[in-house]
Amino acid sequence: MKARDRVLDAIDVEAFLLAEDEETARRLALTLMEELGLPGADVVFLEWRGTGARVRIRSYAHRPGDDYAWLGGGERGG
Amino acid sequence: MKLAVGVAGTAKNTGKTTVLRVLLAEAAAAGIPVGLTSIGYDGEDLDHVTGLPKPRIAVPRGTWVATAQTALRPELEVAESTAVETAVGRVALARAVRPGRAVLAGPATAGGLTEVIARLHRRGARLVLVDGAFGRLAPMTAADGLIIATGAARHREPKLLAREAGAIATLFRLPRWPGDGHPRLRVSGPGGERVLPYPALLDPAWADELAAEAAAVGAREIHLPGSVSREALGRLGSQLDGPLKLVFSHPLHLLAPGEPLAVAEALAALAGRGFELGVERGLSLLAFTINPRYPVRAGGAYQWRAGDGGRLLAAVRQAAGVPVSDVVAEGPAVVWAEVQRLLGRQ
Amino acid sequence: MGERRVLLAPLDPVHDVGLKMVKRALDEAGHATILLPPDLPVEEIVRRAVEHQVDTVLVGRTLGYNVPEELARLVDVMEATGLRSRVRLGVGGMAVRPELAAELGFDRGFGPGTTPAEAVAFVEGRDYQPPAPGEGGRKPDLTAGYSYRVHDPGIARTLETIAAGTVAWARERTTPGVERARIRRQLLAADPGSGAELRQEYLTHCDPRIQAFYREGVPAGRTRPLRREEILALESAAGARRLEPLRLRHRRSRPAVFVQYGTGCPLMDIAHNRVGEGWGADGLVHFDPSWSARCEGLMEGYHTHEEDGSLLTLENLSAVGAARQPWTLWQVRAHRGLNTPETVVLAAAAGADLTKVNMVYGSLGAGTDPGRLLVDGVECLALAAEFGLPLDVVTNEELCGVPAAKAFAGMLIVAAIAVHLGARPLLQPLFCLSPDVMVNGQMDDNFLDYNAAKVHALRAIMDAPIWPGAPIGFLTHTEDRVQSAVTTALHAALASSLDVDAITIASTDEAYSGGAIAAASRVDTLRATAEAFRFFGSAGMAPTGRAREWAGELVEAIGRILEAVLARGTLEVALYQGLLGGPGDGAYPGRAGRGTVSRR
Repeated sequence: MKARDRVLDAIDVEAFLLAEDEETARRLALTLMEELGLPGADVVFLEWRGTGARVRIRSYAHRPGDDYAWLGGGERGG
Repeated sequence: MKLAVGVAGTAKNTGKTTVLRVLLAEAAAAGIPVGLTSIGYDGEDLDHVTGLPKPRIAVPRGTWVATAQTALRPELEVAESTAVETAVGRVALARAVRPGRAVLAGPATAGGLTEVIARLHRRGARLVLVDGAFGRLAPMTAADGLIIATGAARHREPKLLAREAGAIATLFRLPRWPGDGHPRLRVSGPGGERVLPYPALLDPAWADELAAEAAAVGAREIHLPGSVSREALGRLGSQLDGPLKLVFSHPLHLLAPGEPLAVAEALAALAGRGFELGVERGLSLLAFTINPRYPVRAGGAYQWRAGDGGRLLAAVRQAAGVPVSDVVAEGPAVVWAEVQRLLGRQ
Repeated sequence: MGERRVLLAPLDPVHDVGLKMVKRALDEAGHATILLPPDLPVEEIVRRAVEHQVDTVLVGRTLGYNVPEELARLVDVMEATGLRSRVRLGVGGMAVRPELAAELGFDRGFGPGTTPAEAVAFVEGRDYQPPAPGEGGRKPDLTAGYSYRVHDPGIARTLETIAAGTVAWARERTTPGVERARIRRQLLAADPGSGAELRQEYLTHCDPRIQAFYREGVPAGRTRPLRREEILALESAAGARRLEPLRLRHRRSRPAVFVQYGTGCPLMDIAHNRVGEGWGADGLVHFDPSWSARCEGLMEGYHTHEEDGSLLTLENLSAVGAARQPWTLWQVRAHRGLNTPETVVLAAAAGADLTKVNMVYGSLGAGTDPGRLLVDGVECLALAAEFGLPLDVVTNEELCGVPAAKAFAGMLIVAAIAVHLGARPLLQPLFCLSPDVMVNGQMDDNFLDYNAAKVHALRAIMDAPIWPGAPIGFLTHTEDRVQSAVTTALHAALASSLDVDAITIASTDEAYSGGAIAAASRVDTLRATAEAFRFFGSAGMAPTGRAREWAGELVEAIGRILEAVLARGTLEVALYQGLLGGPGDGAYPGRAGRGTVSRR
């Protein structure tokens, strides 16, 4: 089982992104998650003020209704 | 020789920005000087609502752009400022000194758009392209022609999408009876003329008043400027007897409440009872474009899905009575030919 | 300005509180308002706009599914009805940004954080001028209106006698630190390129490490000179565009909120300071490296440092100071170490607004020899008076274990010396879970009573500005972001409730020691503090009766300690003998600079 499989639901990334405007910050936030290999990201919180943005970006490892890897199915794959 | 063409959508994500990009490229290839503006805000990388990436508006060198000063990018050089205000600042006219991107924040009203189009024309733009916003249509009365982008983001069911396109097209085919543009509800007949203090038929109570006045003067003609609500129109119709002319102000005013099917059905019912229907002003509906893709919300985020483009296209083609095209699948030829035809005619 | 007719239309199923607030502001401004019932159809809203012949329609709506379409439809029907040429349209709501308002065709969007005053300005067709931070765009004078009168005549006499005696004692002496400050002033005044002799003289008062820097160009400590492109970036940061900061305080004008910086690198400092300023901080506190405090002499030029603390050079300071917003207060600390008088000289030259001096803490809790720091500190206070730099008198010796009464006695002595010399001190009690309190249990029940007692006690003794620090909530923070933000916010609310003049707050990385503070962690405590200020407004926290009892006990104890200090003859002797904190309290007279005091 990968560590990621043991994430109950979501992975949040907290950061401060330097960006000239809010739109850029939003785009950077999603690009960052792609670069980190965290797909389907959503910007949970973003506040931009002057030089950059405080962001919280989320990627779900398991959404309700998914096949939950933490149920043990993932262990077989070793 | 000078023309303004609006590109409006029946909803968000129906692909109007893509159509705009295609028209910009074709005009550049044909060497036609272009002016560009919007009745809203467009050109950001991500959609405000869905957060999905949006196509960028690439402007060739020499393009005139009317956009809010705050939205100006370095490739745009300001030539004049205007008094037209937007929610993000005052509109300026700028020229692309090199190929680049535009963020369009333009006049939200027909009055503002009329002024901006005139200024772009004065600057030498032969073709002014007006980007629509959020299914809003009414300010496009300032344009000469209109392309309506529709597709699966509006209705995924091909039959419904086609019926709606057909209904919209019907409104643009209403005969034009140029009038004095009087902005109030008005009846006239052998008994004289009566004007009510209402600028549109929005309230069933106003319909009752209007019907009473119509009866009083033995009305032959009723002027219905502005938009009409389906309920008030039905109420009016039920109290009238023919033969009678109903004169609306503009097809886009009839579309403003956002219920083209209902309005077209109500008008068809009135026509069926022998009333003559027409508009004081209008503009050419040049084409529909179809975008089979639509966003869906999955988990926390929106994602694109693709509908059956072929079925959507075939259905709308059958119903529309004007050219219909998927510019991504079929290229720009169909739509561009309509713009050229209008350019030649003007 | 004529009366305007305004239609307020809540599109939400429930009434929009924002619209009601706007209605109140419009009514107060003398306009006619019509507040519609919530959730009316678009056609109905337009009909009412026609009937009431309004000039402005303001729509309130929280954005959600299909809401933008509904708003766009309203705009379109307004246009089709011919109203748009004379009726202005505004929309407000949580997710409304100006770009969205423009896309929907509104004339103005009112997003989160906008005030009813902005809506009134829109209705009246005026440009809205937001109240600038820092009291109308100017820096607040934190010491304005304070007389520094000591209320009890006995304590007043004691303090004045100790102060006058200490100044007289110090004025007969000098140190390498005092000499370097004198030479640095001459160097700053000298023509560029001249001053070689002065520099030679400066070096005779320096450590070998600093001599090596000037003579062989070897940087001291783990520092390196900034590269050319870094210096260009630093210089271009000066006078950068104005921020529109978060409004930190709600209704109150106090306290000014300071944040600390000192990443080691002036470029990173500027970036962090912009974050602090953007999220509403009123002031910045410069932190220098601790090793530099034990080293005689300061370097010159732009330097970055690999560890915590940004090097004190005129160039570094000037770059960081010049990049701040015009309303931002800036403090450069001179409270410990061997370079304090020169630090005050550099702070003034770089344009700092405040400094920090406390010879008692600096010698008992921060490693500098008491005699040395007394001579240097008196010089610092004289310089601060000359340059018009107010200073806080910090009491961090409480963190070593010194009881508050002893720390406060020391603070009051330093404040009295400052006043004696014509400087303007601010008293800086700690809001902290100190070792003494942990042992004696004053905070077993709550954190309010004892912190409040400290403020009450100081106010009972002296009419002086109070600036709890530094940072508030010391020793209550953990590595958890939420806990850390909450404890900062609650301590800030207590400070606000006690109506103090300023506070210094930590980031949520206060308790983390594995690396530099992250910018996001700065945002979090500022947001938390703003939230606490909003929550309490002009209401207060309510300490129990213990707060006043303990305040009384503190005042008595301080009086006794001051008498004992006076009886000991000189402050220097009192410090060495532990009257203001000794080994039993975890305080040890520092050794740095021992034996460097000479008679003039």
